[in-house]
Amino acid sequence: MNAPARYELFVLDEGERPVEVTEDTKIPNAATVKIVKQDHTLGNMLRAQLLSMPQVLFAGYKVPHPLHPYFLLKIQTDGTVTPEAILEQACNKLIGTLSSLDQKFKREFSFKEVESSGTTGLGGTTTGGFASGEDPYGVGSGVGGAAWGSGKDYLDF
Amino acid sequence: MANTLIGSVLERKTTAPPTAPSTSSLSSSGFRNGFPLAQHRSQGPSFGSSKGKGKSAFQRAREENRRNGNAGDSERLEEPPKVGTGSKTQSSVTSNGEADRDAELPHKSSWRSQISLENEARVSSMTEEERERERQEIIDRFGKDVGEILRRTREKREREEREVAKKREGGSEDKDVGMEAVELTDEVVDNSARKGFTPTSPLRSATSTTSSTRTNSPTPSSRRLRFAELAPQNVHVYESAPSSPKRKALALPPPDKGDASVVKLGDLGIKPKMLYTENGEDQEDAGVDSSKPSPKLENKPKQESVDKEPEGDEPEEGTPEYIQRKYFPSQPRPKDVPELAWMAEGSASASGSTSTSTGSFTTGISAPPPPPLSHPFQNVSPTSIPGTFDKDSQGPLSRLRFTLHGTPISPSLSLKLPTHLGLHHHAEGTHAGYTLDDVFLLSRSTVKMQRSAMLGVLTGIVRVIRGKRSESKRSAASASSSSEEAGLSVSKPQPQSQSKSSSHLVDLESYDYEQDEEIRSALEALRSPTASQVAKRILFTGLEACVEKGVVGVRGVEVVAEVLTRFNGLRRGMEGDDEAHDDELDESFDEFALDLGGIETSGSSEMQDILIEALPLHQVLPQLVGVLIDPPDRAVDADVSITSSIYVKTSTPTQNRILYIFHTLASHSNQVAEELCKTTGLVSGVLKVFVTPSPPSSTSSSSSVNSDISLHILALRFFTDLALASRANAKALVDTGVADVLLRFIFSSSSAFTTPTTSSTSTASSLSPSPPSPPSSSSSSPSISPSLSSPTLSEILRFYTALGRYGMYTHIAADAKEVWWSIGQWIEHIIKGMDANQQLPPLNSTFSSPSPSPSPSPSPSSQPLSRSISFWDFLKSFSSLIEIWLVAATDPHRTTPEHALVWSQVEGLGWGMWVCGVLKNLLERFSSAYHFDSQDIPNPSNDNNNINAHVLNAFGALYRALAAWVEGAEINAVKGGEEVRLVAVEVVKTSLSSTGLVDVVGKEIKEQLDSFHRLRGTRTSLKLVRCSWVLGSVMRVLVSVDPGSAILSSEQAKQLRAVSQGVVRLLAPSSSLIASGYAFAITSRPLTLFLVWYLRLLKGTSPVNAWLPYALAVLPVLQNGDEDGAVEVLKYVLRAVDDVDGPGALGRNGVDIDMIRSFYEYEIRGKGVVPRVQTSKNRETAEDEEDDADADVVEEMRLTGPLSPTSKSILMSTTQRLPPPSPPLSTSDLASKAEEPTVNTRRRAVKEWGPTGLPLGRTWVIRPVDHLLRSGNPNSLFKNTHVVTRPQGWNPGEVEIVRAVLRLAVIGREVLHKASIGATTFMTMEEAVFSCMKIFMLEHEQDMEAPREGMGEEVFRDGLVEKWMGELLMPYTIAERVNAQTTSPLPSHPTSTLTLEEVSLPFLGPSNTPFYQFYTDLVGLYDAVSFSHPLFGRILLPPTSMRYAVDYRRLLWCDYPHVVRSLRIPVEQMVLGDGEGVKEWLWPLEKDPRVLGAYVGVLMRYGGVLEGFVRWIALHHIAGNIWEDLSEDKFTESQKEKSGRLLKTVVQQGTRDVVREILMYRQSATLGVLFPPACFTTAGEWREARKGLINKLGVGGQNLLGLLDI
Repeated sequence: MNAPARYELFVLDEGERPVEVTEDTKIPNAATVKIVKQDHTLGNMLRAQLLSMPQVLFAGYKVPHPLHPYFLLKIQTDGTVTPEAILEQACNKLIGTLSSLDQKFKREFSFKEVESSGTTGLGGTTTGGFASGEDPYGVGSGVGGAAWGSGKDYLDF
Repeated sequence: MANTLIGSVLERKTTAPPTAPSTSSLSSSGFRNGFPLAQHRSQGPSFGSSKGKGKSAFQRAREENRRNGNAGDSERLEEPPKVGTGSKTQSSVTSNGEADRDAELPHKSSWRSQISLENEARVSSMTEEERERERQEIIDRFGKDVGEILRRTREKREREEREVAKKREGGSEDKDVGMEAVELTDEVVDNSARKGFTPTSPLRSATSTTSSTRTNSPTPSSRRLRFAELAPQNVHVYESAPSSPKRKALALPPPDKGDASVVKLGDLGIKPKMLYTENGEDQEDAGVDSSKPSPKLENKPKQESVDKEPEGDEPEEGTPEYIQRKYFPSQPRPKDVPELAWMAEGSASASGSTSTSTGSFTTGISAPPPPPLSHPFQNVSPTSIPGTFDKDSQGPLSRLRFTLHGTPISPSLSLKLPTHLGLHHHAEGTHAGYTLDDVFLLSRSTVKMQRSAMLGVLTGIVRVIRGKRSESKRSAASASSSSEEAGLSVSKPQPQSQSKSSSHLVDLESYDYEQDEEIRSALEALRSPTASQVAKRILFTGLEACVEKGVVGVRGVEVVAEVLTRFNGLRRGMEGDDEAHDDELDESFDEFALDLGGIETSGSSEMQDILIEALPLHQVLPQLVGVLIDPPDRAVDADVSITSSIYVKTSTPTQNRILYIFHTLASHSNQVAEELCKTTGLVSGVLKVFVTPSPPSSTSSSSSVNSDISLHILALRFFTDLALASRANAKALVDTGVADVLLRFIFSSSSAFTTPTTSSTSTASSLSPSPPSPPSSSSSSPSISPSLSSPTLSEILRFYTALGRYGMYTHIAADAKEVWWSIGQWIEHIIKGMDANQQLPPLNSTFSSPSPSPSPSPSPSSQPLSRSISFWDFLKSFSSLIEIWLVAATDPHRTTPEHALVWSQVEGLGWGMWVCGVLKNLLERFSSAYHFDSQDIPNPSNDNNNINAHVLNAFGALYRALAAWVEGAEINAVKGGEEVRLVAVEVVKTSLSSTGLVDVVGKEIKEQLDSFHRLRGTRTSLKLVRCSWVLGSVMRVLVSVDPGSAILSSEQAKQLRAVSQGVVRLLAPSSSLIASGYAFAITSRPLTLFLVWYLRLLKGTSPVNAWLPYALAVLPVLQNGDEDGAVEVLKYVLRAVDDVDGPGALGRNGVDIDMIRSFYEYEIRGKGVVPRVQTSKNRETAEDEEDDADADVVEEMRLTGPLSPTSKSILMSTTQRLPPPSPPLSTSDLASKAEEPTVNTRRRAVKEWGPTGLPLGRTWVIRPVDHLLRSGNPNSLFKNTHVVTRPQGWNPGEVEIVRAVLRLAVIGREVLHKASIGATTFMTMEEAVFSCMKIFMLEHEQDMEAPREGMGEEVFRDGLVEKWMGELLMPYTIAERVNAQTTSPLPSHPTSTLTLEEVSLPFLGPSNTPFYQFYTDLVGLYDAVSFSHPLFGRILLPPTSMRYAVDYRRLLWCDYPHVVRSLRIPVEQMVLGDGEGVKEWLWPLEKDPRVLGAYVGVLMRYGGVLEGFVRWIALHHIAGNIWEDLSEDKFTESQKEKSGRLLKTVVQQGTRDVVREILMYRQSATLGVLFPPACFTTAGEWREARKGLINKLGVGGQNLLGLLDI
């Protein structure tokens, strides 16, 4: 009812800045970063990445309100780097990690496709079976279940 | 979860193309114009069917349809047929499925069999668990009986398939025989059906399934066909249950010879077990030869139906069931609808297979026969009476037998008893006695004597339930003696029967059932709370009988009165009260409680409570009033009363009992009391029956005496109780004229008071032999007639006092002034009489009631009240009345109605001077001739302890009256009552002399306080409380008379201080001496009264730092009803704390302590002003419309009148009675909190969060934070801002409030600690920690858009908040504790072993927030925003000690390992609880593998970073699991193996530091704790053992061993 429009979750408002950094006045080497139009997905990843870096003393994030699409990231470093710098490093590392993951996944998946098309067409036929509707009991039937069971292993890298 | 058995509904392709609806049916059947022709049924069959003649139009239409064949069917094909895999779609399938049945039959059966094969394959491939889950899911979705339905349909289908197959073989195709419903074979369902849950009622869809099909209509052809195929197992036998068991019984075939289960014919129709026995026979018959119908059934007319209805499921045409199924399938079953109830009779029998109850009779053919009945007894079950108990839970009870007196007898004894006792009439076999069921059944008998006898048995049973045999005997005696007391001798059946059978009962009388092992379990079951059902039944059985005429009614009332008797006395709430039951003590306690304003007795979980709450008062009360006006024992009574006296009408025993019932109800709760008052005729009825006005002709003194006798004391108490209960009640009583009627008694007896004054010399002389209290020995002084009326007069005065506490009926003070004046004269005269004699007897002999009355209080009689009269009681009542009138006269606008009494009138009456005179006279008497303390030896066995109780009470009342006079004069008299004060000072001086009252009483209190530890009990506390009330009254006089308290000597001041400290200690919440209970609640009133008055006195005399600690100590212990005092104390405290630092001190900036006063005031008053029961409607209005909410609040308001009434309280208070004490927070409740089932009981014990009211408890300081956290709660101050007054523009921010709260807390604790008084009223470590947790959780006001002080400023980041929180926690740190052990012996805080979970309960409450969840949020918050705040980190750790569940450690160490890394807490900074200190962290050693793994993981990963306390804890538990010498006990083999692995892991992965510390760690479970680094440097034998282990395991090598050598 009161939920904001969906697009507000990812579209920046007029004049809104995506990232704001506020240095903490009382705690040394600490800053609070407000990142708008993002949610737990990014917040949690960033926090985890930051925590894995030795210079970081504290890293935490919170989403103050579930209907407000922003989160607050709190970073405290040991003084060798500024929070902004370490955040930048973390972002870069994260991007690296993600892209390598992406590549790996794609590669493995293409292997899998080659492999499975070479060996058997079982998976294909059952899927075809679903589409034609000859098995009205869908997942309930033994064949379908077996298909799911056998089809599962491409996720298990 | 995906349901794999029930697939989705798919649309099937139809094989037959849809055709347009044809009109052939219309045209061919001769309809014209589209409408059917009207044709009378009698005009014969036009369709040629031989059976059409008698058929209904519906049926003919259907046959018509069938004749039209496919045309009609195809019409319905418009809807695509669906296939369902479950019975959910059954009905639709059924209706549609038949359409294409013929065409698709082969195909259908093939796909069905295919599906069924698939299903079976899947089911067989499932594990047992899966099957069970699926089965559960199906049952969940379709109801319990889906199995039965599916099984039936499957059977049917198989049968039909067989038929079809047969027919196919024979080559004869009958189109009519097909499957009518498509049912899928489901093995799972079959399983479930086989596992034997019995259906209770089929789904409605199933009903319509079987009834809406075409095949149901019995066409000759189809029926004939099936008839030919009829197999015995297909026959459904319709039960032909007779409407009454009697009829059935008569139809029984004669039993076989030697059949063990034969029952005597005499029992038929009465014994419930008859049904069972017979049932067994039936089933045995049926089981033996099921093929042939039993002979019994052949007799029944419905036997025909067996032939007619081979289908088994179809009811016979024309039966109600049939009609209902056929034409009203959507209607609920007839037995559910009252309008159709008439059908139920027939249908119940017809639908035998649908209900279990009848099913057990009727499905004898299909159901397996029950196990053979070995003995008829074992099958006797209470379930045989409709609506009784559960068979299982009442197991032992069903076999328990009772005699005619309700005495339980063991099975062995019941076998031995002779047959002539009357116990075998209804007994089974050779057992004598009656079971509960027998009694209940017979208590509905139409034979009156039988019924009354059974009600008598019930009375006895109730006594047994209540327990103590001696008590029950006594109360029985008193019940019978109550008739004698009223001057009657009603012949009662029970004594008669006693005497008749007394010779035989000798052995029974001596039989002590309590000792009988055989029935112990049954007795326990009977007394257990779960058995309140039995008591409830007894109650309602009695109520049913109450309205009957004659002896049944008498017995009914008896039963009700007995059941409602308080199972435990009021004072039983006192914990550890090991004094024997003492009626006199109970009586004096109850009376004292009444003086204090009474207390509601509801709220306990005792049986009486449950019973009263179960009573439908609206119906019961008018009936009881009827019985009261016209009692069943009136006839007997009338004869007696006429002979004894013409105009004195006495009440009958039944009336007495009803009054007793009313009295019990009135004391139960204020609501019930109001209900009583509202019941028309109740009050006037009681008035009429028990308070007979003396006849107008009687002016002589003898008549007045008579009329006094007819006054019923219990009735007067009942009125007093009603008046105390609520203001509305008091008003109703005045309006009804109760007060007027009672005034007449005072008038009529006033003539007696004048006697002594007129002939003073004669009375003086007559007094001389037995002075000074002739009333106590009424026989010796007949000349003073008021002595006879004193108890009743005292009661009447007490009633007026109760009215006066609401400011009502005060006008009689002026209107009847002659009476009061003469009473005053009389009292003065008596006291002068004492003076004249100069011969004061020792008080203990005179005033301890010399005649120990044998009557117990719980009996419904007035006997206990008619004790020997005490002059002092009368004096006390009169003085109390004077006091309340003086208060009322102080401000004429506060009385109801206004100006009923004004000060000038009071002055004119000279009461003030009278009080002074009497008090002075008395004091002189006592100070010169008598020492109070002469009998202070605490000796519970002696009556001495009760001695001057009455005298003390009288003194207290006089002092209160004096205080009221001085207070009133201050406002009304000239010069602020200066003269009055001078007079009063004289009096007070007398009482303050060296041997004066104050000293004596003070000493007494001190002694009682000291002995309270040893002699806890009602006697001690009663004495203590009485003394403190007197002392409090004296304080009150002192406060108003002499604000500087110059007359108080330093010695006395010291004594008072000591006394008050003792009282505070006694009342302190941490005091383990007193559990909360009714007795405690009521007795604490005078104690707190004393504290408040003493504080007022102190405040006037001493500097701030002298009284501030005292005030801080008093505030948390003040009890209910002290709200005014508490608010006043609060005001002092806040003002004083504000001044402690002085202006300009650090705390000054931005901290306005007074700002939070609204919170505290709300907490103190809140309970009364917030609607107590918030319905959802109320809640809405409270949010939406402020005005309406106000009105609601006013309605529900509850203000308990204070013990010392003020002119404000008499206007405002709504009740004088204390609310029932809230159930104590017992640790036993929480010990079992891990188990889920106890959640409900816990919920009941803990109220929803809201203002607690008084007492505030230890954590009162921190309450404003609760309101901040719960600002959305309807009970929060922020939602109820209209309730308390607050300064203009009051809108404090979170930070301001928290600052103020913390400042108050810190200063308060310091002050308390310094003064060493009542430090125990401050918070424990757990409470302090939880308070800090709440502060950390505050995050409402973090406005990110417009940050005020830095971005995202959390409350805990505020400098002052941070500082003060640290100070708050300081005393609990390890460093401080070590200090404290060496420096100061005084405890800086109370010791308590409550866990955080328990401490958090009042705040988190039952609102579904367990502490674990709160803690989870807290850890999450720390993780998100803390910046590793050190204090925040410290707060996180307490719940992870070994005292708490492993879940807390798992959460912190396993789920948030990175958080642990940031917890940099030096060991000495850690906060500790009181129990084991730091040991609670170290032992027992962690055994949970996950937590242990987390310890290792964290230590390995963050080894270098981890420091302080957490590092120590992790090291300790890892080392403890590696080294055997650290463990409390020897390692087992598996542990050894584990320790080896653990060591290897540590050595391989750990840094050198960690490995070294693990190797060198040394701690002992028995010796003192070694703190790091000491624990790494000790040397000893253990090193060699460790080396041995390392060598054995071969890890690490020399390098490692070298570490140990350092």
